Amino acid sequence: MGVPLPDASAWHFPAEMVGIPGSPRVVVAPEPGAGRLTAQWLFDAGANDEAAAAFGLSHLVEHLAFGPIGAPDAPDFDERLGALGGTSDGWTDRERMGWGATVPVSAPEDALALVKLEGERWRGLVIDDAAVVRQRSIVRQELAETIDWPHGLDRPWLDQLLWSAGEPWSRHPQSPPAEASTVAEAQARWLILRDRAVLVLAGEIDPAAVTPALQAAFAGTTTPEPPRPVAKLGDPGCEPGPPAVTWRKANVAEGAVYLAWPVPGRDHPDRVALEAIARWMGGARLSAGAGCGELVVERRGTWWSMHRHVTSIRRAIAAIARDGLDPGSVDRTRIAQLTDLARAVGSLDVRARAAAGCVLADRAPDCLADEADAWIHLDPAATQHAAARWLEPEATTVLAVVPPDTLFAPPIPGIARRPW
Amino acid sequence: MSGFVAELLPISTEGPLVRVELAADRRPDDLAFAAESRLVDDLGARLRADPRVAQGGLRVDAGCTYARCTVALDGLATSMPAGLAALDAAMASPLPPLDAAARRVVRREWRHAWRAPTRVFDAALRLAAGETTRAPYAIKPRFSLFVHPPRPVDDPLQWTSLVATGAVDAFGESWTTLVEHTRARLHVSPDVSPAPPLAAVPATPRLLLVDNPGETRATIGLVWASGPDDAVRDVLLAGDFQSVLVQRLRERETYAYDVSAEHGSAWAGRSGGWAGASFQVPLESAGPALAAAKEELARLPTLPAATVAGATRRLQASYGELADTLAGRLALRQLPPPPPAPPPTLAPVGLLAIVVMAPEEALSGLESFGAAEHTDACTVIYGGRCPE
Repeated sequence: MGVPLPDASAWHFPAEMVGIPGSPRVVVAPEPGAGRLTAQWLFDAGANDEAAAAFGLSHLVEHLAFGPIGAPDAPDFDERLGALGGTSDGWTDRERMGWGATVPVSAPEDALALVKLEGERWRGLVIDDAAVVRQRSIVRQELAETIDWPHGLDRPWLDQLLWSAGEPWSRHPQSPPAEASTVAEAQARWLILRDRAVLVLAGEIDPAAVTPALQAAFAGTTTPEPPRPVAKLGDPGCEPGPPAVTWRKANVAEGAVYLAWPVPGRDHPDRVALEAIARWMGGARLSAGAGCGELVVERRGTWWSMHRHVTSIRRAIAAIARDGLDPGSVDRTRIAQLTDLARAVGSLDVRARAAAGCVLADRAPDCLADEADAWIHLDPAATQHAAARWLEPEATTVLAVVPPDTLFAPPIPGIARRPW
Repeated sequence: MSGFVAELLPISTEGPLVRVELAADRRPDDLAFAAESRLVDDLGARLRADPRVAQGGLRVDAGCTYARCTVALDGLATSMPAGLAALDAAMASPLPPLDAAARRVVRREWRHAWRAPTRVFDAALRLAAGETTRAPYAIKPRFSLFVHPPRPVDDPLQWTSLVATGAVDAFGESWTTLVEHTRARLHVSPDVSPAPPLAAVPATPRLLLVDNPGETRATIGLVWASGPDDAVRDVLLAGDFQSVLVQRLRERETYAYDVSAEHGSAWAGRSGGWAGASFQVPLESAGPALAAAKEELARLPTLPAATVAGATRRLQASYGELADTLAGRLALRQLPPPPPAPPPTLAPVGLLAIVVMAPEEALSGLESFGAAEHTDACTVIYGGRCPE
């Protein structure tokens, strides 16, 4: 079936670097008529380069970033943003940290007010004893809340099976809340993060009008570092564990079975083909790691149905490794992926985050268009090559999770109940 | 046919994408295993399997919330004409009977609903708010309902709208034809349900204490009367990092990680006569956190004008963000317009009910917060004992 595809211009958006000496890298992506402006910070540092005694320190600094500005008793960032009509969010994973703030813009002064606020935070973030104690407590609440989700516990169990040195790309949800960290360590972490920062301003903004404010806010405050090398699959920190087939009970209402493979990271040439396979499988996810990651296929069901899921997934993988995805399936996944990319480009904050990621990877700010191009040129042979190289059908990790009142082990070949 | 809407809503920022959505209001007495929910799920499954939809990369969003059922096709405009033909065909022909696997899924959901804390809490919140008097899983699924399903166009579901957002020029004649074709088949009702009246505020709020053994945190919900004019106040109270309950319970007291906004479901818009907030805290903090939350509600009239103005702008901006997405543009049709300026005064919070879900030992000592009723997850979900 020949669904006409939009041309490449559908995935381009205007974005330009603003050269300011001694400033974090700044990208301005104007969109006249947007009616709002988003400021998205991305930092090329997360839990991956933290010392073992201070796991969670980056996450803690992320929380501190929305606290008081200028003095311990001054209004915090969120309070001042709220008075501008703005909203905020933040996140941390093993590789990166991000902060976002969005304000409505009905006059140029609204955009300048956000730039000024971001500049004040950049120069005057307060990291003191009281703030560290408070935010450490909030992180503890976050961890307690998130690990109580149904099936939330499946993730660390799966990670223990799949990665011999712990999960390599998103450690923070399972990290302790930096109990041992001190104010000095948090401040030192903030200094490291500052040198690895990108700021993207996207939306209702006039680049010429905002440049003086950006210079006033950021000039002479840091020395940006070039992109850092990342660990590849098999390197220390990205070592797959041995194959495992196991099950366990958990306080879940519905059973689930996970098949997982360690795969190369997002910059590898096979990555698009692996994403196509994950899309085709359905119920699958591919992690976002730069150097290494994982492909996980999830199926829900009863304990007696799990062997059918495992068998059908293994057969499907074997068939792809032998013949590749058929052209119709490649077309279908291509269109679905390009549709998702169009959705990402159409969303202001997602587009801004993507632009920041492009800059951190030393690429042009609108490198989503390159990804679209890679999908447009994906062929079935690439999926065969990727599956044969990375997705050995029998060498997977299989984890079945069943409700607590289940009496029998799922009848999956090779099943074993490991002590936990 | 009055009230039936079939139209295109142009939108400029989503590039080559289009969304077509068919929507229906739900009957308030059908909360869990209603025939309409299965019918919409099956309609979605059928569309996903249709090669005209699958090959075109169209996403199918099909399902029911408490308030509405929707079936939507979402994807490249160039794929949509074939998708629309598939939708038309799916609406016109009978759905196949539920197979054994689907029946097992329904039965499993019914049997294990009490194990899902979010489901129990949500049901408790709505029961406490007076939204329904029946536990949502009180009726065991009767498969005879599903064995002879009707055609979707014959179902008692009141399909209210067939609308699309996206590139208007992408459809041309095919859109008009589809609309006329489908319109002739549908049972219709007014597009936007009227807002329900504000709930009567009791002198002492109802306090529902739900015993849920094994929980490591207490889940707390507060429910207050709310109508369309209270949108700014409700944004000010909960839902984002700038709201006062988040600032108090998270940033100052560090009891909770987040405070979520809750909304009634009787009306398909922002509020169903009530709004609320929910959060999780350590078991030992349930009392102090509840007291702090009530203090913030009482402090509302003293908030600075700048804080109220900021909340008004946040509400306006959230509408702007909705208008920038295909699904959001459609959702906006169900919402009252945002206020053009900050309200001069905020209506005081009329507390209807408080729900606390925690193990029994953590619930003792909370009775002073309202007219207490002790219950458990099985009663909330099934109206009695849990299934064996």
